[in-house]
Amino acid sequence: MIDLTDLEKDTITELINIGVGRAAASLSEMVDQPVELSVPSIDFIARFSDAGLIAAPNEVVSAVKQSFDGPFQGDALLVFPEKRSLELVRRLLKVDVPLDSLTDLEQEALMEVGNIILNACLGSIANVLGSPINCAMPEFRKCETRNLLPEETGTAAQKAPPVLMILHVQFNLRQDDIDGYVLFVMDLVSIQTMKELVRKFIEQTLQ
Amino acid sequence: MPHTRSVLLVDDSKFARLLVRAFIEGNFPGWQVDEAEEADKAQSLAAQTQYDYFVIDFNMPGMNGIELGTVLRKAYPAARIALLTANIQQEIQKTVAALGIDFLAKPPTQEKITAYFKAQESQA
Repeated sequence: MIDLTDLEKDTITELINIGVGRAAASLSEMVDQPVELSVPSIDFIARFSDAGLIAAPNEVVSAVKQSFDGPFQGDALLVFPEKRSLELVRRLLKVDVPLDSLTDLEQEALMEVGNIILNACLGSIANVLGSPINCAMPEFRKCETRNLLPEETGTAAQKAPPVLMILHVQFNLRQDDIDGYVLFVMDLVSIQTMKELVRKFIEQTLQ
Repeated sequence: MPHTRSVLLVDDSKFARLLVRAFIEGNFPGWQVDEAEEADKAQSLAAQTQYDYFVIDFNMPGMNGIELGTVLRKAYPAARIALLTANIQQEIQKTVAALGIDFLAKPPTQEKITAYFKAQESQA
């Protein structure tokens, strides 16, 4: 399916590490507390439901999706359990806001968090590989975990190559017990392109 | 006695505008802070008020922050313009620098926003 050498896989993991490190620093600045990150794991899967990420498929999550394109393209998603998202918004606001406006602001605030975190990830990768990546406007949705990537079911799935690269990064705000994860979803063509860029990057670096 | 300044915040995120406004108003009492959620509104506000500062997001519907910054740079050469963006790519930073626009990485924080305006004011 996808033929990555250990070194290529390691390099991609390292690139993501640099990106999420930057993202964690941004999130930590926003919430004024340390943010713990797990080491990203890379999975190649045919269906989202195979990702092994979904402990509770019916859990409602708040998700910010940002599509990106450039040398390779795909979607980046930032996902929080819904029940924690208001708490996160309260954490993010450094100014007093009445509770009713807090709910109004929830979506706005989470989109902005998504925008900052996903850009930090993608931007760091783009900077290392030296290829600009364009990010579309962030989109917000609330849905059950199993419906996060609806395009893989039904007719769209027949058109798209049935391979997803899932880069799974878990983060945790220990003080507030808020956790979430970041997913990158790319199709086969994009994965091959990224693999090629990574191969060249390794070659240049080792010269 | 510091001068009273006027600032136009251009960002499609209400949340981002709310934070930056709070940081400016908390540290620079008396400054006028206006908001626009996209480039068209920003340009029509700029035609009515002579702003000292523009703080512009990059990723917006319609014109992006660099396109808007380029237009504003030409129209208002005396104004200070900063791109406040989550897009930290070197490509963007280089483009912005070449246009004479300052670069501020999101997230906006009290310290970052205050330090930026203080530095500008001390040069003025």
